Amino acid sequence: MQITKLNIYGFGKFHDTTISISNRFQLLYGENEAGKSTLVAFITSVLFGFETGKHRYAMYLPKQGSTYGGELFFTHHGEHYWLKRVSGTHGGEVTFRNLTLDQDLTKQDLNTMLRPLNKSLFQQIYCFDERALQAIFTLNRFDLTQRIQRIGAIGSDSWIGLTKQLTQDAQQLYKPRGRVQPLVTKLKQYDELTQKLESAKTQYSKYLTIEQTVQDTQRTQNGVTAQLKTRKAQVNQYQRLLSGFEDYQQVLALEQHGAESESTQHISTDDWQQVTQRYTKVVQLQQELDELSGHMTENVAMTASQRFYESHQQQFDQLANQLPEQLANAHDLHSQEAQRTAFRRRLQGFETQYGLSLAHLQLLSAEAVTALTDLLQTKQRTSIEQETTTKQWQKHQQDFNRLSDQSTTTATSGVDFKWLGAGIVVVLIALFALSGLFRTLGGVAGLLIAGYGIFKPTLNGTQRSEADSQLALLSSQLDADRRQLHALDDQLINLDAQLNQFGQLHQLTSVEPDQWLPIQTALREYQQVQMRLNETQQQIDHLSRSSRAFLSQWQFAGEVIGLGGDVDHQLSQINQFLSERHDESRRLQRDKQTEAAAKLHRQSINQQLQHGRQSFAQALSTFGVSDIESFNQRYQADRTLAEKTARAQALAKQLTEEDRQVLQRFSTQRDLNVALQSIIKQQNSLEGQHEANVQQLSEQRLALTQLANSHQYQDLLQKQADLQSDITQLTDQWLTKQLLIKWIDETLLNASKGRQPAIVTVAESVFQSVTDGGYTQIVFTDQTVQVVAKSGVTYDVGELSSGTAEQLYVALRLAFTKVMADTVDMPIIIDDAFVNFDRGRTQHALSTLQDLTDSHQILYFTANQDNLQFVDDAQILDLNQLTSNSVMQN
Amino acid sequence: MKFIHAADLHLDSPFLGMQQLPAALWQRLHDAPFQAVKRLVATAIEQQVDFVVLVGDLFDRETQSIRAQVFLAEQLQLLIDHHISVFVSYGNHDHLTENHVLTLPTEVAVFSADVETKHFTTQTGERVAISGFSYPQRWLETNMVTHFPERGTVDYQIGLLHGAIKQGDENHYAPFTVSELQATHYDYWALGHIHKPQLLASQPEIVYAGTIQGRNKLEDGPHGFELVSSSTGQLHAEFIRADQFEWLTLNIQVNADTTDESLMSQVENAIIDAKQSVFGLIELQISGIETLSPALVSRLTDGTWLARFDQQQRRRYDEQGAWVYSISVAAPKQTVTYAQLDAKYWAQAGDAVFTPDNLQQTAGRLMQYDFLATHIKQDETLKAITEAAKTELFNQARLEEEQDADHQA
Repeated sequence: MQITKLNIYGFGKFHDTTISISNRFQLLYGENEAGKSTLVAFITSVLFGFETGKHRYAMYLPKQGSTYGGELFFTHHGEHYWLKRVSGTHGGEVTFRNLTLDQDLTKQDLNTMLRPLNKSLFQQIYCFDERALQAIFTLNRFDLTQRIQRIGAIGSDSWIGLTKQLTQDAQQLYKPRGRVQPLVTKLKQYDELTQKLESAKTQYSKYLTIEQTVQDTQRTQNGVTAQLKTRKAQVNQYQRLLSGFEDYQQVLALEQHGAESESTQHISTDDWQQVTQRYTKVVQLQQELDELSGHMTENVAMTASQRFYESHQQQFDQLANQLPEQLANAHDLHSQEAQRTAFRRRLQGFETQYGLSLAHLQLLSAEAVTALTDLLQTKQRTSIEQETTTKQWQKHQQDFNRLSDQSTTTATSGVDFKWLGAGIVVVLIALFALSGLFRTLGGVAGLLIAGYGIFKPTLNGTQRSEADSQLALLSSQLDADRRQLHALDDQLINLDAQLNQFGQLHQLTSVEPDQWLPIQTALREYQQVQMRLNETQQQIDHLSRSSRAFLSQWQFAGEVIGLGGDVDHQLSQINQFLSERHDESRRLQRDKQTEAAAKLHRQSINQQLQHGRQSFAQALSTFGVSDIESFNQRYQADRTLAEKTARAQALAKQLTEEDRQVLQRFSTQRDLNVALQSIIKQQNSLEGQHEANVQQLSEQRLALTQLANSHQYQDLLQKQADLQSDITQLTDQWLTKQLLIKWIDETLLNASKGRQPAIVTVAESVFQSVTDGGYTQIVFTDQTVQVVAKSGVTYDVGELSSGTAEQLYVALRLAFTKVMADTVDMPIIIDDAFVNFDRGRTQHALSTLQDLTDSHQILYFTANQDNLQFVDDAQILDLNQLTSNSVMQN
Repeated sequence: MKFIHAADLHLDSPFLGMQQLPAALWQRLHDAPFQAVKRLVATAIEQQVDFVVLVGDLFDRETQSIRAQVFLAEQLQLLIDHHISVFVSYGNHDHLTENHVLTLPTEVAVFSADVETKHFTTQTGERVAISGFSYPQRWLETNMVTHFPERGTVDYQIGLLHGAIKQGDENHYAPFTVSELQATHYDYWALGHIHKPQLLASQPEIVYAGTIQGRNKLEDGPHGFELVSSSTGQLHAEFIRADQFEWLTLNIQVNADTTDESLMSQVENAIIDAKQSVFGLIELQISGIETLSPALVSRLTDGTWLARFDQQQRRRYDEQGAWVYSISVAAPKQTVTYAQLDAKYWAQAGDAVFTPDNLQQTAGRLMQYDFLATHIKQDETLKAITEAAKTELFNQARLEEEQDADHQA
């Protein structure tokens, strides 16, 4: 490709600028800031596309608002093209035309034409500038050698830079002898963890060991438990046997001697009841019999009275017949006597009432009674009149006395001293206490009062003559009264005389005349009582005689009965005697009958008794005893024996075969006890063992559980796994980088080697030229690059002076570009690459470059004016003279 | 007749590379294998199976976790308590050793190092013969199938085999071929060792039960155990899920317009679309980075973007039922533009550099670590590193271009 014209619409500092490049070798001169880089950027941008906004400074947007972009005219494989690029998407809008064929082309056609180049690759291969060279020249020898070695690869600088970067990155991850890199650290951690795990792993074997131990312990424990069970059973057995040792021994004895002791007949409870019943019957019968015999003797007795009575039976019976009548008589007598006493008391009562014996007074006749009644009535009337008159007189007398008293009192009274005294006091007061008129008035008043006192009686004497006339009247009345009283007295005396006369006549003088009438009734009653008294007396006398006669007939039995006292008593005695006898006779009769019955009864009981005794004796003899006491003793003994046997049998049932063996083995309680203690001791020891085992088991099981639950090992494993994956990841990263580095390097070396012959050929000529023939040959080895001097001496790159090494590099770089350009024909753009060269060498270099233009267009940018003299003026384009809308033509 | 076939419980194996999980989620993940075993036991009891066979690698002899073993013992005891017999054969990870004292209940039937046959009669009177063996050591090169007895006169004969199909010359895990197994005329082959459940053949069924809970991205897809039941004289396995976490990969296509934020929502949408019945542990496979801004690619590859995304998923993982734990970036399909001229050199050099030998040599002392050596020796590692290197180269080159552009200013 050869660029023939640039037409810049607007790009960076350029606008509306056209640059025509007619030469294969074109030197573009411009001082700094003249726009060398801008032009390079313009060419690459139009060819490969504008930069995006991401790289704003690489976009070179026009400063003056011109259209962004421009045109490029070039020839390629002999045909002319026109390429226009203005702002647009995907690197700008492209207009592309084959001018030779007058054919419109597309952006795609452009890409196809440029393939496989892109902007970056183009820059890498076809552009080399001072800056890139400067970077190379600051490398140390070793690195420079590396660069030189790999110069044959495309973009080797960048690749090498990348491998450097990658190496650094990789080293940050891991260095085989590093200390702090993450992979190193992790591996160290992993090593530590692995050690920890190893020790933690022992947990497992520990677990297994403990588990084994647990099994062993459990087995032991099972043995101990079984033994302990046996011992416990034995202890129980021995203790049981010990507590009833004697009984058990007896049982055994009983079992041995059981047959022998069964000779005599045992008394059963039934037997005992039967025999006891028989015995009780005998005793009861005997008692009954004894009692009956006692009664028999008592019943024979009879009183002496009875005997006397029975011997005088007839006489007694005869008299006894009269007895009820006599008793009635006696009773009658008593009532008669009581009546007599009542009559006598009544008569006596009359006499007491009237105070005289009524026996001598006669009853008054009816005429006499009438006369008496008249007399008495008259007397009564007179007495009442007399009394009234007396009262009248007494009244008159009283009035008279009162009046005469009054007149006497008035005549004898004189001066009234009370009034007199008061008048004196008033005068005195007036004299001493008052004065003036008051004294005078007071004195007069006093005198007046005193005067009243002196003259008062005289004033009263005017009433006396009236009283005296009344007294005279009363006195005459008194006289009349007195006369009437005398007359009455006379009448009364007369009446008394008549009464007295009547009394004498009827022998009533011993009685007061007023009693004469009332006494008549009493007197009549008295006489009737007297008469009935006399009748009663006669009756009494008759009855008394009859009684005495009857009693005298009982004198034959007087002593037996003990007769004495009055009739009543004797009758009562007789009555009782007879009653007693009657009872006794009846009793005697009954006793006789009883006696006969009792005799029969006794005989029966006696018979029963005999029988009972026989059967009792028989029963006793059955059991070989003689009496009831020994029988009872035997029975008690038998019962005790029976109980013992029963208990023994019960005990015997409890005894197992083992018990019997034990009992046979130990003859004494002591031996058994000793054996028991020994077993207990064993048991205790076993229990201790058991407990210890339990403790041990629980500890071991706990340890197992702890181990099983322990996450330690698991955690470590997981940590290890985590570390492993971390490490793996890091390793992968590291290996990726390492291999990538190797890959790049290998590629660079391969590419360099592949292109070596072509490059070396070009480079040798350039190098020879720039060194002015100082070096003739360049040799690539696997390790390094060597040059052969004109003298034939071979030098390693490292041995060259820095200037020479740089020249070698430039030579090789140029050679590489040339070789690459042979493959893809593109202009070579060099930007002051020979800045470090001295004049001579620069001249040589430039002339060498010109030689290259046979095959390639070379655009050489420089700021060094010296360079201008080494080329034809026609090949020079002064950028400083560029103006807008000017067409640079040379 | 009904039984459960499970294998490769690997109860005590740790999860790798899950450090970034929130603590609660991490705990759930950590408990998941245990939960899965519980689910197995619950299913066995609920389904009233006759027995359970566990075909090796119940735990890791190398790690020997007491907790895992005690847990397993408890769970097996539960089965025994419910009158469910348990048959165990040990595999390469839990092989028998001299001092083999395991805390498994005594009722558990364990196969010895020699092939032996245990007989079992179901409650309905079906006679079952179970043949199997345990690994006596870590490796077993012998073809054990030839040691298995001929089919007996039982109703069902079952073979337990922990091993891998014969491949190439080096076979450390009881190598066999499917046709060998078929030739035994057994009614069912219960296989262990391969962690992904798979059916090798169906006449009779030859089945890898797979690990009960996937533990890494290689054990993706559903995991659980096989519920095997008889039907018309044949045994048929039904896969029962028991896992609580599933490992999966989500492919995310990015382009020039993708930004950090848009990528986040894109990923979230993809998670919603891929919604699983169990919690998803997701690796993002990002492709199309060629046009992505180099800076974003860097953030994707150096973990910056994921760290940001973690903030977001920390809030939402429960609701989303998923967690993105890793990002892998597919290497760019095209090479760096300006490397095109040198393309053959790059390819040449790449071929020379990205070799297992060179990788191991580069790793140098790191190979002293077994786990690293194992990792580095894996083909996947080299592949991943190559991809990563390409991506980085590509990205670095693009970054370089940008820088160059700046330098032009």
